[in-house]
Amino acid sequence: MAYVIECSGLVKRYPGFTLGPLDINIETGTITGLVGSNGAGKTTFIKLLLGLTSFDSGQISLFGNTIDCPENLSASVKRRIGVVFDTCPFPTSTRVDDAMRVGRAAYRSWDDKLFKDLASSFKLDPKKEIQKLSRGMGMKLSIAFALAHHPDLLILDEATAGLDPLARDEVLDILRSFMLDGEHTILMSTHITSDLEKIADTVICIDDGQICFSAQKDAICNEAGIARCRTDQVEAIAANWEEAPTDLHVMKHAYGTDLLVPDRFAFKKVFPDIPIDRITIDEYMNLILKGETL
Amino acid sequence: MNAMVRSDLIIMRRSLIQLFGICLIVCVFIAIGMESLIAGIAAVVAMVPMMYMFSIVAYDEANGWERFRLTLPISRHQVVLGRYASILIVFALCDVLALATAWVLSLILSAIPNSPLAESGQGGFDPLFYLAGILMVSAVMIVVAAISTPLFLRFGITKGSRLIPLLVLAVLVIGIFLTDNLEGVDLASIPILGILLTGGAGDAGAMLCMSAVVLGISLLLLALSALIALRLYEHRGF
Repeated sequence: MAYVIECSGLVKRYPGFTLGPLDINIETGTITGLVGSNGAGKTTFIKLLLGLTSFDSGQISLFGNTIDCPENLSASVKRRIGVVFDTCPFPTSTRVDDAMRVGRAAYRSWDDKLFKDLASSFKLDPKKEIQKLSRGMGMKLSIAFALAHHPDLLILDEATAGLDPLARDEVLDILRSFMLDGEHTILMSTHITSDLEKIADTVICIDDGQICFSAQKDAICNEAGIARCRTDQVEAIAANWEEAPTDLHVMKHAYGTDLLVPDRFAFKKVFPDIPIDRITIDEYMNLILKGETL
Repeated sequence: MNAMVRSDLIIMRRSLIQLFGICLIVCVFIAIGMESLIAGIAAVVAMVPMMYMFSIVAYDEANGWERFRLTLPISRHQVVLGRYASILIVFALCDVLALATAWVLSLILSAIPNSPLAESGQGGFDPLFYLAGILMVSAVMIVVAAISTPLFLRFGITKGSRLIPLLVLAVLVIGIFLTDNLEGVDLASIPILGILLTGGAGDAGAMLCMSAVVLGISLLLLALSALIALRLYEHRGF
């Protein structure tokens, strides 16, 4: 199994906040979603990967190359990474075609034709000033820039935040196209978990600097479920459920208790009278982060 | 480093053209107002690189460009050295344009009957005299660049511009302290300092020599500043 990103025991300390230790491995050809609340450490993790800040301990390996000096990521590694941050990063005085000139200056593998094709398909006017681009157009420019040098790994930090549903769908379509050959990899941090439900293979949740869960998206969206129990049923379930997980995550509310079930089909066989629904990544996160553990 | 220099110049291309245009107008007003073309030319040489230095740092911070730039295949060392190289390119470009402007304006202004410059006898164009003046102003501005660039690279424009006056003040205080302790030493007897202190005594060749010496010293300071900036930028977190 080939990994694009391998992190072990990764720790970054700030006054009042510590990220890690994190052990995260991301396979080639997969889309990994990074979720978690604001300030959980997602962006810090991305910054560590990109050498924008140093780590205190642990190890990072990108494309099989161990990063010895995190603040000076080698150009050969950077050339293989496309990055999209939450804002269009180009200075306001520049124009769309200036971004192309910068790309041409920075990347050996820069593809003017691909950039122009993408810009044209995104309806980006080459002469338009960056400050006059809407947020959606700015993000499309960022994506065109990130893709036009043929990266192997795409890292997106809140790239779809603030986009309308149509623009988000367009972005997701571009990401799907990028993944078609099976050799590319995407790591995307987002609060819009419905996007991950559409395209992700794996979901990693970070909370307060620690990994809360790391699961296959299908295991969450297709297998897991949320059992809608009466509060008095929960103890009975815990007592009679032979295949119950070690930690049962429950959340009480005014009309009953929600119970996180790893395999809703198996659960349904054991407890046919208890209604059970599919679970979204949002609900899964909520139950794990805010629910009680039995 | 080439990529960094090119990206700086791509970003500033349009702003630089605007700056040159604005400074040309300022130059004409100063030249007429002060009846001295060299004063107007000095304003161009001082203003354009100064505004370039501040603008490029401001653009660095806008939209998180400096953070994104580090994700491009450009190392931190290349960012620093490329920034210094782009500043020097702007200085060189500005000096050439200022000299050309001086030549063109002196031709135009001296040809206008009753123009203040023609009447003051400054209408003629002595390239050595103007080059000496341009290089001297450039040297002073390069010292400003040497002081400000490491601070901008380490702290950004907001905090950096707060620290610059403090550093300039420290340099002044040290200068005054050193001058006070040199009483009794005849500085004019030292050949190069002699030219510096007498201002070339109106000889354009001597003035050019003096400006070249000062420029050389300021470039050394800029090189030292680049070494400091390399260290300061190396561990900056984004």
